[in-house]
Amino acid sequence: MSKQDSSGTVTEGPAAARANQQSFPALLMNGLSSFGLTCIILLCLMWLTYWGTRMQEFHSLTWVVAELFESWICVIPLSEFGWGVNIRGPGAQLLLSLLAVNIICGGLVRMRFSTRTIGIVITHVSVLFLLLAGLVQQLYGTRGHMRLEHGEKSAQYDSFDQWELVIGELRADGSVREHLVQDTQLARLPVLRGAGVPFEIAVTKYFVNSDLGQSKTAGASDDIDGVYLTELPLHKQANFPGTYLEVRVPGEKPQRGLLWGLQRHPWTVEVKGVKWFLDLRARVFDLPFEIQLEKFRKEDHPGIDSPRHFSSDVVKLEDGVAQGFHISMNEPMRYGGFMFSQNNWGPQPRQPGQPPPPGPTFTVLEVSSNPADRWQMYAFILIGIGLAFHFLNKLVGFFKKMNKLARGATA
Amino acid sequence: MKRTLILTAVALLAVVSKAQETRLERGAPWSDEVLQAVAQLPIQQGGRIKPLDTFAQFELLTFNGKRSFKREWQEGGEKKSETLSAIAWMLDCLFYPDQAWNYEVVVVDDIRAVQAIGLSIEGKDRRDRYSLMELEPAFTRLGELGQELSQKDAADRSGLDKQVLNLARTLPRLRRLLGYLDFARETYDLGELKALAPTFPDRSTATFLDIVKEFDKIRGVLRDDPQLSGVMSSIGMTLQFADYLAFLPPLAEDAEVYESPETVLMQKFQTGQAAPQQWQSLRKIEALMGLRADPARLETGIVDFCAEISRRVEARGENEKIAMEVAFYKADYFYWARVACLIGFLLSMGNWFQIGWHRSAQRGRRMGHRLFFWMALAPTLVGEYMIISGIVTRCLLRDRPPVTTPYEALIFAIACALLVGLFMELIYRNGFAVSLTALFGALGMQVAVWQEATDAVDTMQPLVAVLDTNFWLSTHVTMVVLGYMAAWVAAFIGIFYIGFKFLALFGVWEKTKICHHVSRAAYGVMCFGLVFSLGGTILGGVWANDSWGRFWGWDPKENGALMLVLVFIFILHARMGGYLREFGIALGAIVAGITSFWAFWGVNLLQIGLHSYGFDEHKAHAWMLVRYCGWTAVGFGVLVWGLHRLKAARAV
Repeated sequence: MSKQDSSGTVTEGPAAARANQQSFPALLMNGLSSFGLTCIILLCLMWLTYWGTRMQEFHSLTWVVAELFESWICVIPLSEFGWGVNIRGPGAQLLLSLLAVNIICGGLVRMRFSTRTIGIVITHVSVLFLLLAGLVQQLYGTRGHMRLEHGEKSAQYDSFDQWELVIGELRADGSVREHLVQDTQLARLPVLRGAGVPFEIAVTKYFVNSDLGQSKTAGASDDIDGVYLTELPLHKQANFPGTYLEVRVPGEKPQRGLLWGLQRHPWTVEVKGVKWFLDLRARVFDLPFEIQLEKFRKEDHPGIDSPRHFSSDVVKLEDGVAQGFHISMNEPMRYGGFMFSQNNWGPQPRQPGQPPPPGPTFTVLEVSSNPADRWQMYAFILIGIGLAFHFLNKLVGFFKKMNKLARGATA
Repeated sequence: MKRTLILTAVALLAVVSKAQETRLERGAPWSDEVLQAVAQLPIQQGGRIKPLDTFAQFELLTFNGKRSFKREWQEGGEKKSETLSAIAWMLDCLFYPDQAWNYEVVVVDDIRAVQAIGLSIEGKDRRDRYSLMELEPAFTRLGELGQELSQKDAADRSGLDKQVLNLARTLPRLRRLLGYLDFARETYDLGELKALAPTFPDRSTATFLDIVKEFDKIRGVLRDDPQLSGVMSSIGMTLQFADYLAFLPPLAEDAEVYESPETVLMQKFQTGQAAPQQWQSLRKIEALMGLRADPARLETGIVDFCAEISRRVEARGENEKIAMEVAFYKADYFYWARVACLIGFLLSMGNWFQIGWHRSAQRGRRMGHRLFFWMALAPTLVGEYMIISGIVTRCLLRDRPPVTTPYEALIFAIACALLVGLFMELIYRNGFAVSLTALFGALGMQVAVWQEATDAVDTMQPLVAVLDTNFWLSTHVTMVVLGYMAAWVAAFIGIFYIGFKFLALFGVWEKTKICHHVSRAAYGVMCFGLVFSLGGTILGGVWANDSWGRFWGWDPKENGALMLVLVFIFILHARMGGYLREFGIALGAIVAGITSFWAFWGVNLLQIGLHSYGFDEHKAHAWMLVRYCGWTAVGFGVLVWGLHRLKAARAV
């Protein structure tokens, strides 16, 4: 028999007695809606969050997020902490999905709706909404940065951590046609073929983080024109990928080359009289409008090299219409599904107290596109209402009970 | 940068006091009038205008580990001592540096650090204080070691290395302080420096400022005459020392940066000209130096000089809060709050003892209970009043919510915890919450005072650009801190619960409802904590979205806050599911407290992410202590729970 607790939530009784009487869907529903499952999920999430934090001592945030927090199954390398074991378990993706199911089944479907439970219901709905916002951001959101000098304008922004291989055709009329391959694909070392591309590209090696070195031994196996790539361990802040490629044209000897994230010029190849270029660059996202930097301002606290305030005055140019915006820390510009926030500036001195290196002043804006941009705020408001309603209700009930007891004692 | 600093330190330390021949010592203590005037002298340091008193206090904390300094000396075979306030110590350093050179003001936690730089000083304890005079022979070695250690990876430095490095970084600062007014003190004997004599006819000496004034005329002589190379290097050093502190308000209305004597002197060196008003100020300091043999006139001169600078700062509208800040530090609210709470706790213990004493006499027990209850409550309320007064004053001084630094957040959390505790007392009226509140207040304020002393940096520093928002500080940060606070209070209640349960094993309070009340209180506080930690965490995400373009980034600080939310939610759901009962709630509350400490302090010590700040060895040790104590309490709780189960089984 099931029973209802003080919050109105239905909990299970002796499981063994019910097991013989209930159908499989009912059993499944019981399991998915149980407090037991809630507790297990929460414990696993705590475990994962704790180790995900500690692992940032050794690994890049990007790596930790990909391996633990955006994965279904993950391996926590406790051996790195001297524990001698690596533990495989559910990733955050799986746990959060299960949590959503658990909330739906236990916190909504099986919840008895009443004035006593309305706060809990609102809170559960809000948490689901919050999880949904996270999912939408993960699936459809993009993040990058835009670097602008005074007067400069741009309609593109570069990703922080995603890279792409560009296969560009330099046409006779001077235009360029680009074919793009994302870094996730390159990591699988594919042989790339594309419509309109008269050759194959075999990705023979791909390093997520790499450095370029000058060969000391002529003719070494990885040596391309006197340079070679070395794979580096993942860095906590910034990684620069590198790849070895072979351009294979039917009937011709393959051309070997390497590309590196920080190279200045692309690799150019000529195939059947047409010039092509290959480049490895930070993934570029397009904006449906242009942003122009009018003025960048930075004020330091008096007497020290610590910025008190920095901001950018920009103009959005769209369909020939200009509109001014002011972007500063904590005051982003929101327009057309994009958010522009003040991220950085330059040039900055390499060490405090030194003059900055020469060069024009520039601003760095962080650009993000997230369909669920404001959802978290709405979730916060709803959660606040839900929890406040529930706990105030409980507090009032508690005071009433205390008064009753006090009156009883007096009587 | 660190390497450059250490190299500079070596250079500074290598130059030992130059004006040894004119040793002057302060004859009598500084008068209150001069101390007050100097304490309120506005200076600009660390990006803000503050009273010299604040600066002096934190400088003395850095060197001495205390805000005051006890000076001991022998006079006529008699041992004498005096306790100097920070501002009196600073005045000695500025006007009587030869005397201050002998002050044992540099605290060294481990004598091995002193031995490591090649010194062997008799009669010192393991942790003791040293004077610059004692450390002087090892300056060169200290500089070399400091340079070597600064190149070593921070993780590879031993405790001893850190001590030595700390010495190598702080001693040059003290040296600069002692040499700060050298520009006003130094004189050159023209009898010895004959090449300079024609520039200063009819004079036997020239001051440093005289040399600077006539620098254009003597530049060539100083450069070419090898006998004057010492003067050139002396000028260089004096200029470096003169950069120690900026107290001269800029003359241009729109300028914000105050000038140090070095700025004025450099202008004079480079262009042959300096703003007359600034130059006159330096000349006045020079004149004050000449009055050192006449303390009464010196003090009058100092008071007048401070008044003049204050007037200039006032004309700029920048000294509105100087007096308030001096008064704030003088009142020492947080120290007295700690004392009041401690008294409250001790008196509340009296209540518990008398309850045990009057077991058979109900009337005496009730009377004693009331008496001790009010006696305990009164100082606790005074403690809370002191903390709130301190917080309000800080808010007025800074025009900010009281949560801009971890130190402020901690004090705010303690103040709120005390309010929560007093609210609990209002509900249960059994004296338990007063004991808990007073103990929490005393311990919490001890931690806050300790944190300020170990950091030894101005706790009202200006904020970095991202924190320059009162809206987010007063919403997100306040809420998160309230969540942390709730976890600490709940953990305290959990520990009390285990204590009561342990006593119940021996029949003490076995049949009262105290344990039930305590457990309910822990649960209630955690419900309160969940609302604030969850709300605060989500608001943090919304702020991060506006500042950094993402709601959640799995940053260690964010993860810490999330962990606390998860712990709270787990406890609440496990209680509803029947997995946790009274004992479980109490143990869960302690785990929540440990998690909260981890989120507040622990993750900062990882030194990763966007929120890593405030790391030092002391805090690492404190966090380790909290962690071990917390888990020991959990372990002890499990043991007590097991014993209760055993007792119940035997009874059946």
